[in-house]
Amino acid sequence: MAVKNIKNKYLLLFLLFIILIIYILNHTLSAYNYIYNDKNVISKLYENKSYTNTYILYNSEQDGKWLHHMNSVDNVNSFQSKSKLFEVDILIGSNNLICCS
Amino acid sequence: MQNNITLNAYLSLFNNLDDRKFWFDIKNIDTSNYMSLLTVLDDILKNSQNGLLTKSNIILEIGDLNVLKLVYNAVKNDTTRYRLSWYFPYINLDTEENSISIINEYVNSADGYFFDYISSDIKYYNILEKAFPNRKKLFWYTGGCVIERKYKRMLLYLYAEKNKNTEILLYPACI
Repeated sequence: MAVKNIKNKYLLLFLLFIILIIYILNHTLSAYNYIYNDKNVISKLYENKSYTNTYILYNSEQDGKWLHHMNSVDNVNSFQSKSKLFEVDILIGSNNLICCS
Repeated sequence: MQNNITLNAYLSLFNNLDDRKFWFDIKNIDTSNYMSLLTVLDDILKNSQNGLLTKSNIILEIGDLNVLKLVYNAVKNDTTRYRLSWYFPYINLDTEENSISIINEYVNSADGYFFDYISSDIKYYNILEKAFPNRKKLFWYTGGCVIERKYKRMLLYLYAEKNKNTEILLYPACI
């Protein structure tokens, strides 16, 4: 009986391991598919090369690198010391601008 | 959005606005209310902690190119003006010929408008790099938690490292 229990334990661990692998693969593939672009589409696109390196360098000096999505008042309290860049959704009201909850 | 507060009230929550940057995604802007946006926003900035928040530190994101043009014409003579971002619209890449035609139309017509950035879901990264190699881009992603989210974040880091045009990336909460 004891031997059988040990075998069941290993079987259970093995099954859990398989489930974990499937979970990781599933999410990785999902992420890859999310950003995958069909090469046939890309090869047939025109190019618009407007704007020069001068423009890019000018803007590089103006901007930071990362920002946070901050549509909650709670997020302001949590993140304002960690980042200087914030993205906020805005609705134009009759006399004011509406943003977060 | 439920239990919303005004932008003014939101900004007042910050201890210090000096040198902070904001990307305002304007959800309901159109040809009838864009001037109202600029008037109210100008007023908010003037009164924000003694004017610490400056226009050049604000990105206005707009999807409609014609509205974007109107906004640009309204702000282009300002000594410090808002930065403008064009929200690249959703395109179904499954319909190949249709999507190529739509994107190429944007490529051909983009020079008729002004925007500092193209804002896009990270899924269009390769397309936008091909179509607009010299434009600055704002990339972001939505959805996904744990592994999927970490994987996407890793891709964002990789893209940011290899491309100087990708200056700002949105790192969203796990939803």
